[in-house]
Amino acid sequence: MTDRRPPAAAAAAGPRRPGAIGLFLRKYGENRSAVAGAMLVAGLVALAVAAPLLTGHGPRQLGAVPLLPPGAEHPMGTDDLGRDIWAQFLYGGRTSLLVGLVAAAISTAIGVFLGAVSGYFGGLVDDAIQRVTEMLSIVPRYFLAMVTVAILGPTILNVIVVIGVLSWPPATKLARAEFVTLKSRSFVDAARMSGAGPWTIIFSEILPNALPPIVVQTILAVSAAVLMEATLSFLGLGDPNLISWGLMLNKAQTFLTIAPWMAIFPGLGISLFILGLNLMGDGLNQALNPRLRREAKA
Amino acid sequence: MSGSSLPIVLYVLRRLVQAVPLVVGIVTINFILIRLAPGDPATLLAGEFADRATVDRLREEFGLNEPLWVQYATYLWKVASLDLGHSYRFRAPVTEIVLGRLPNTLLLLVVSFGLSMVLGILLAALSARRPNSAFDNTASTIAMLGYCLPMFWLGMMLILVFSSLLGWLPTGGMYSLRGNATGMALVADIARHLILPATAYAAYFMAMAYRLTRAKLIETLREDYIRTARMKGLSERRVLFGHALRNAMVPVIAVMGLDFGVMIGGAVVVETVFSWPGVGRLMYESILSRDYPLLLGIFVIVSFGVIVVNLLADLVAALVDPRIAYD
Repeated sequence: MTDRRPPAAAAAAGPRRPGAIGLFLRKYGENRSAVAGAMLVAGLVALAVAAPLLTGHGPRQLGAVPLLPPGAEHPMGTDDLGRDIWAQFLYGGRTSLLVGLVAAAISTAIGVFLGAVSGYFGGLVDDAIQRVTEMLSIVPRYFLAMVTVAILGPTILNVIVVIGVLSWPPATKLARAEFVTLKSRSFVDAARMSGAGPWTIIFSEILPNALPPIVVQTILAVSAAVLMEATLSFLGLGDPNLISWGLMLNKAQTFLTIAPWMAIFPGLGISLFILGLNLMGDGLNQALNPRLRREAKA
Repeated sequence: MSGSSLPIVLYVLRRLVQAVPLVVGIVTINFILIRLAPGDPATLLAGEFADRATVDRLREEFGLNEPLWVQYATYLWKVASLDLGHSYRFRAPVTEIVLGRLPNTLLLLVVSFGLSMVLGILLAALSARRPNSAFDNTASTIAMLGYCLPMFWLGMMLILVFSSLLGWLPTGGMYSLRGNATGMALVADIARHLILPATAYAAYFMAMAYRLTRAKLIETLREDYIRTARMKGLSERRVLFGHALRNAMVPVIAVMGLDFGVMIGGAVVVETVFSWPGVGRLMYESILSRDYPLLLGIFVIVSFGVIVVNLLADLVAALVDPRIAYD
């Protein structure tokens, strides 16, 4: 961490010099929209995790009057089958969260590994990986995801794997750039001279130093995965056995003009979640990158 | 001019050659998907309710009784000769159906893209001139929203407000139901139907163009040549639009071109929400009816379209900044 910070930024920390993490937290805290983003994300995650505590209704429980507008008993109204939208909203958030986190973990793992190998070893391996990355970035990802899920079957596992496997190019490009810069630093030379093998250098020496931008990239990957899951579910390619915000919107289409609450709330959920993640990503980027920080102030 | 155009021609040729493995890769993905599907590939291509004879005919046609590499070669050859199979819902060749819907999608794309590029870049230029001003903050917030709202939800909300609540614009489709308008009346009718889907679609493009251009412009406006231009006594407008914007545009064009593959995905949801009779809506219909030959065919044709757009973006970037062609 300390290694990445130019002297100017370190000096700006003031006389008491808090640790790198303290400095970072302070910089992040100064950015109001970044704090708002983190609060949005934390709030939505809390709602999803605490779902059973926050509603007496099951997400699929029938029985209420269909198409009821929001009221005291049903804060977000009911759908065409008389199910509580608030309950669906809470449980739907779980699906978004699950798909977002796992798919982003998959794409980041693949992306960082390929980027690390590409950047560290260079040469032919680098060329090959770069070509494949370039190709995958050009392929219309959404169309490919739709075709693949339609053919393999819309299960939650297929949805997660397809999103993860199609979304690694940004992480690869980022990790490669970091590794190309970091591999010529003196601490890497030192490790090499003390007899460390290439994999040890990649994972224990360089990777920890490349982590901050990778974390930012992962947050943006979660947001992209949430959007893709919502899109697939909206098109009828989500797991039909799991309530999700996209699936709710798919159903809401038919009743858009007579029961707009069916569409408004799940869409708000997706939008706020994605907005929160992006604000966090921007904020982290500025807090981690001294150059951007100065530009934001300019 | 003729002296400087040769590198660009060579550059374009090189990019064309580089596109070949991509095309083969996309066709290969399709082939693998057909094989990966649960069950018999012939049944997949014929449809659930096909009769025995059709399944047998397809098995013969795609060489499904032959070794895998023969199947692969057969499939490559079929795609190369533009034979993407038959849709079992429409009972017509896939290529014909998709090409029939393509103009409607292109209309939506071109209008949305044009609108968003002009507005996005103009707003970015005004924002970059005074970063963190009230104007910049407002425009940046709107761009953040445009970037984060899912297109299909934005589309639904637009319908809710402008069609359902205010009754100003139609909820969907491309023509009025009873309309047998011709000439200018027809153009006006289509334009009325185009406003909402184009807005839903353009919001994201615009946000992206805005964010990219703004960031790049702020950086560019610090360059020495900008100070020189100002000291020469050029008007601020000339400096901004004549000098800074031109240089800031290159990476913007490159990124937008490269991301076109992601952007085109929006056509499916926007056309679905607004019942716009284009390729995206066709994609949704074939998902619903599990029309696999049509699904796979749309993917191939859209991919080829994206490759062409990428090449065009490369070419435009090389024309704006000739240094690119020399790399």
